[in-house]
Amino acid sequence: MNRSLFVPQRMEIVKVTDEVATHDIFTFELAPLGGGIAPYLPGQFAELSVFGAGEAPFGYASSPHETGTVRFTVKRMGALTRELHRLGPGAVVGMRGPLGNPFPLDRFEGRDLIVVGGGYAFTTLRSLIATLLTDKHRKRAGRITLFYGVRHPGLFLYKGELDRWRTAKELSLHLTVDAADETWKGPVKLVPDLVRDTAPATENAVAVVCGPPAMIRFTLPVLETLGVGEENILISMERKMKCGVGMCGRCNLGPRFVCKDGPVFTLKELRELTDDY
Amino acid sequence: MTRTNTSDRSWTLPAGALPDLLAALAATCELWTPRPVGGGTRFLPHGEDRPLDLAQTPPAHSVKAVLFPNPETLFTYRRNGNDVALTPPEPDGRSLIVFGARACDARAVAALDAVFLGRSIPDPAYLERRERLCLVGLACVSPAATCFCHRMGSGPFDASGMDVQIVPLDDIYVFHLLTKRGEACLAPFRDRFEAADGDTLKKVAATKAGLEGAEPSVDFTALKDAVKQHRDDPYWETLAAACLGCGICTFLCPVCSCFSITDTGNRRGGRRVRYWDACMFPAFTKEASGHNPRGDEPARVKQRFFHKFYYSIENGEPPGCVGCGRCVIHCPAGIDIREIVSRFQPEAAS
Repeated sequence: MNRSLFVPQRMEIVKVTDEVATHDIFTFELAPLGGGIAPYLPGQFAELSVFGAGEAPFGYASSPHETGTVRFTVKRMGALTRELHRLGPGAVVGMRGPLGNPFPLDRFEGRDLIVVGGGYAFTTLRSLIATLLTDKHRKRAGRITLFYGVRHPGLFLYKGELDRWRTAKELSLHLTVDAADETWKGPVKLVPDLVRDTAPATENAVAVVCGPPAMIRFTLPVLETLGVGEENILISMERKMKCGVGMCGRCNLGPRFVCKDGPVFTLKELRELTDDY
Repeated sequence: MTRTNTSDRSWTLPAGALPDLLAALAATCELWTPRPVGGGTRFLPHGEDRPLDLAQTPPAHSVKAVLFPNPETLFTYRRNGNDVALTPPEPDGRSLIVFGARACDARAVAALDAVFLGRSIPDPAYLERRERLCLVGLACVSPAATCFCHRMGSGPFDASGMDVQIVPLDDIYVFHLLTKRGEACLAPFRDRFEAADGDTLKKVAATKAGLEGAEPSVDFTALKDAVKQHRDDPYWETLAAACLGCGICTFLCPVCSCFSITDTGNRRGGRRVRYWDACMFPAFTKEASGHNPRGDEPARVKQRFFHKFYYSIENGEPPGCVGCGRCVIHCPAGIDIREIVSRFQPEAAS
């Protein structure tokens, strides 16, 4: 009998990267101890365990073509993440995943993609973009327009990678901050305003939105005004989760569960399901 | 109802012989019986420490606690240097007999099955117990004033979900063997019983007939459609104003199965456990960031009833209420789920 649904895979931390100026967001690179890495796709998530502190869900920050290890970017926020942030290379944590459904990569074929991210929720979008820039997907995707905003310049995740993306010909990168410092030469505005002012072409576009609730709330009408239909706006939802498989009962949006039916929903679906998105 | 009424599947036992039968079952099986703890009867591992209570209707606590224990160990962890050993609990090979469950609790098992066995991966601990389960049910001959199983599509003699149904007559119990599992559990004790004769079966039928004719069942699809239209109804605020958010309704409900998962122990060793949680608590959905999608009482009250009468039906699962009336009895604010059903389907209340 399978007794392993709630028993996580043991993973060794092989690298910890301090991502931001506030030193409260770390990327953990994990290698399996016994067994391989279960196949996953961008948009899916895993429950990470710190034994003694519990378990919480995090989206994969790594991309499936980056084999051998997986990465998760975690902000220090509550009891579990505080314990996780104390761990370094060699420590063993637990992982249950992948859980949930990935971004519908098939739907992106031949379409332009507008990606809108804010804050540390960008981690899942990093996995998506890195995947779409691989040889396998690059030829089939249209143009990618990426909007990414943070409160101040020191808070951008994956800075080295953002520098490389700046010159990638498949992708046009638009970064913004709420408040600038002396190093910042880009726009100082909120993400929804940046999307509105940039006004990417929407005739053949699918939009993906992932970020804090306020950013999502104000970005959606901008995308609709620009001409992206509600069935072509995809939102990666976050909710408190425990089981990750549709049993524990807390992450529902109406009759559906973010964990097993999401976390990716279209705006059309969300409007039918709930008032809170 | 009972699959057959031929006497080879209906046995009688003198009422005085029940304690010995239970002792014999407990010797070879994992046996749970309803016994009083304080003022409320609950299902406990069988023993002589407390008397059997087949009278309290329904028992204060449901069968849920047997199939979905609170708390339950998912695994133990023990750190060894940097590494950690994870050990799930050992399964129990014995039959699991729950004795004396009423129709409401037996029906609720189907709703628990939908959650724990109906997802992409079955819950291993629940499945392990479910595969061992033999539900020996008890027909209700004196339903409480708060019982409304008829309206929830059932009745005091409903045997769905039972492997054996017992009907108490004056000084005997009539055991109806309904499934192969029920037969297998009782076959070793066949010589303690007598085959039920025609007169006995007539008495059973008469008892049953005397308890029928109560209110008709609601139409669950119509109820779902009505509830669904009331997402913005100020009624939820009225209910929430009375609700204390104590969660007693969810804990006593035989269907409510929401849980949380936490670690108990320290960094060196301990257990990961799941325990009953409730949609009535603000922390149920509160995220580490502080954001809470169901941060106010009306949203939580609505969630409870939407889950029972809208989401379950919409997802093709059994209704979230079996009409046991426990929440009606115990709600300190007097919230009555029957009134909520009537509000959205007034025609069925006539």
